[in-house]
Amino acid sequence: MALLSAVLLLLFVLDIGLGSVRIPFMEAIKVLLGQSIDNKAWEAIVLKIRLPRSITAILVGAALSVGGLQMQTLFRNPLAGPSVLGITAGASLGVAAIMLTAGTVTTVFSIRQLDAGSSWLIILAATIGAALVLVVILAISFRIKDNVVMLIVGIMVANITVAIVSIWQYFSDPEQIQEYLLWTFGSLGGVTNQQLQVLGIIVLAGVVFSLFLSKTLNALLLGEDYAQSMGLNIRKSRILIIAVTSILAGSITGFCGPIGFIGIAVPHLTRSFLNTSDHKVLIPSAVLVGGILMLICDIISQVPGSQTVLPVNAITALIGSPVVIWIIVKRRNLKASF
Amino acid sequence: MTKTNPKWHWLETKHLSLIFALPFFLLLATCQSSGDKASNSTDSDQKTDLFPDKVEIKHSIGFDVSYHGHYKLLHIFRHYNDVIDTLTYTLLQRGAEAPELENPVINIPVENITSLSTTHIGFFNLLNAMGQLKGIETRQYISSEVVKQMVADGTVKEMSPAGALNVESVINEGTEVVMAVGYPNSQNESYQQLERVGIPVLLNSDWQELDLLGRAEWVKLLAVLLNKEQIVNKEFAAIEAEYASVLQKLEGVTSTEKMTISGIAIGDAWHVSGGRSFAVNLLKLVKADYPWLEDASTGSLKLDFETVYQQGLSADIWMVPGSAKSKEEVIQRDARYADFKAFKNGNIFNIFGRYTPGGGNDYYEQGVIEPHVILKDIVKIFHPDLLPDHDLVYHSQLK
Repeated sequence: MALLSAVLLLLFVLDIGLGSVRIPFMEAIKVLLGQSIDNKAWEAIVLKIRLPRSITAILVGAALSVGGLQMQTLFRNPLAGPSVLGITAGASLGVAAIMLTAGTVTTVFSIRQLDAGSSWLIILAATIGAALVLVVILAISFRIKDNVVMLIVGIMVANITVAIVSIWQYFSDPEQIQEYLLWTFGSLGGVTNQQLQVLGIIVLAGVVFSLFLSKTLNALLLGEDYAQSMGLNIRKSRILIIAVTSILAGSITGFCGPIGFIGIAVPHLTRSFLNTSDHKVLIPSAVLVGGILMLICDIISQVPGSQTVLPVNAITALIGSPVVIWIIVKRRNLKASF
Repeated sequence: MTKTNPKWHWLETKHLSLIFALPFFLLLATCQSSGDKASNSTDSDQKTDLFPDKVEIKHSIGFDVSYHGHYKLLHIFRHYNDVIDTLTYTLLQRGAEAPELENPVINIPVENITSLSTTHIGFFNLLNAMGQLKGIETRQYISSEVVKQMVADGTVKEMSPAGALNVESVINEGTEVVMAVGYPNSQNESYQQLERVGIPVLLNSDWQELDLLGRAEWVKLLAVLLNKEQIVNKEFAAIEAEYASVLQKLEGVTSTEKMTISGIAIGDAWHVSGGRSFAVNLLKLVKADYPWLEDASTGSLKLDFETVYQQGLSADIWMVPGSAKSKEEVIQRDARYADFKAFKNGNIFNIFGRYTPGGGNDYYEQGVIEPHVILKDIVKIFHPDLLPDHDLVYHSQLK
């Protein structure tokens, strides 16, 4: 884990040093260490653009990885991820409500008039959307005993949400659809220092809470019957796990857009690196591996040396998927983890 | 689709049409037209020039018109990178005999037009032709009070009130021509349906024009449909003269120290106007400094946030920050914009001088036929001393 931390730190500095504006590495490090440099533009770029973006990358990686790990354990399914319960789709629905309905629904329209395009408004909308789906999922989960049934219900709820968004898109103007489409590409750079504080607190709280749940998660891995025989309240722990995951995934989606792949891939990567299924180890490791992977994706999406950017959401899948395929094929003992 | 220069292509078609027309004239010379009841304006002699007033296209790269006695040929060019696709329509005087051409035929003067873009409303206004406007896309984005009233009266119908074009409604209203906006490679299903039932859809690509006059000159396309050449020539000449007089004021200016950036970031990317775009051509006209003047793209240039941010820190003027209408809205999008020099000095300008609460913007309506006023706005922004008495009309300074 010390090695992972060192790699994370190295990539963090590298991510800040690289970008489309060429800033000498030593100058960037000076700024990071709190020293003043002559070029005020460079100082502003490092402190106001690159630093928040890199921290956001780590938070995104951490939150989605932990969320994914919890879902894979809860459902004992290697294909589960933080988006599996429709939380991400719910956040998208909230954003679509703001971006696509302007002018057709008077109430939403007046909200938009109040502070059109406000980044906080988008975050709020995504949070409300995610929370709505969460409430539906929790309400259903009270009635359902079987986790597999729960998984299917989650996927169906996600499908319903996507369908509503697509109907909205059909009746929207091209510019509005474009705005929404760009949001779905994901973005790490839109989070400002002020918003970062909020996001940081949420993610930290979520990860810490998840650590408290690690004993429960370990028990669940042995099977529900076994967990129950250990005196675990399955229903209660399921609700807690779902709630933590929803908050993590919902907040990330709100601030950065739907970022795929990380939530599914990182738990697999972490398990194969550490060869353990103890969540006390897996959770902090997933935080580090998630952070590392997101930093690498961010560096690549910036296309260092060029003046352009690639959508980070495409990079995560493009870079990560081959890695996961390689590891799974090489290990051939995926079943042992579930 | 042929890879030719538009003017060359035009010549080719002109020759072709003459060859086609020749046997026709011979035929007409020998036998008098046999009892054509409807033709009172054309009578029998088709050789006479029915259109003594002609338009000449001087600025637009998107269309051209040629005259052939009792009909006109309208050529619409669509530019796909360096390839140009030409669509030709025969505009036939009502009652006159159709030439043997395979083009779609439009009977002129057209009485019933549906216009699917606000950029055409100004044209109808300038030509005093609101009576021929029978359909619009939706009233939501319309600025003109006259048109809004016509929608309320029912003399103008909304053809796509819910977003998608209601093809049946367009047919039902007796539409003769649909004027729409065309984008390269756009395969609009409903336009194809309309073409199949014989309603030509004229794809206007004024957004591809390189300057304000080129965009305004599309008014001549409407004029040839309505046989209003005389009016359009007079009105457009007046616009050209006004425009030239504004440019004259700039003659003494050699360069400006005022640096400008454009657009606003969306996500991690910032689309700024390309070095040969419409917006930058305008900046060049008023001799403004711009970091990407050397760029060769005619559309927009996609840059990384920090690249533009670095320029923004020292740019004097910030043009068109997306849909933001106030400084408050600008920093709501991203608090880092407050670092910009233009933000601190209050020199942020957008095109919301005249917009409606519903989202309509007169810049894209009446502004299209007032290029001289838009030019004055830009001159005022960059050289306030040259036009001390001008107040911004279509542009607004963000407060």
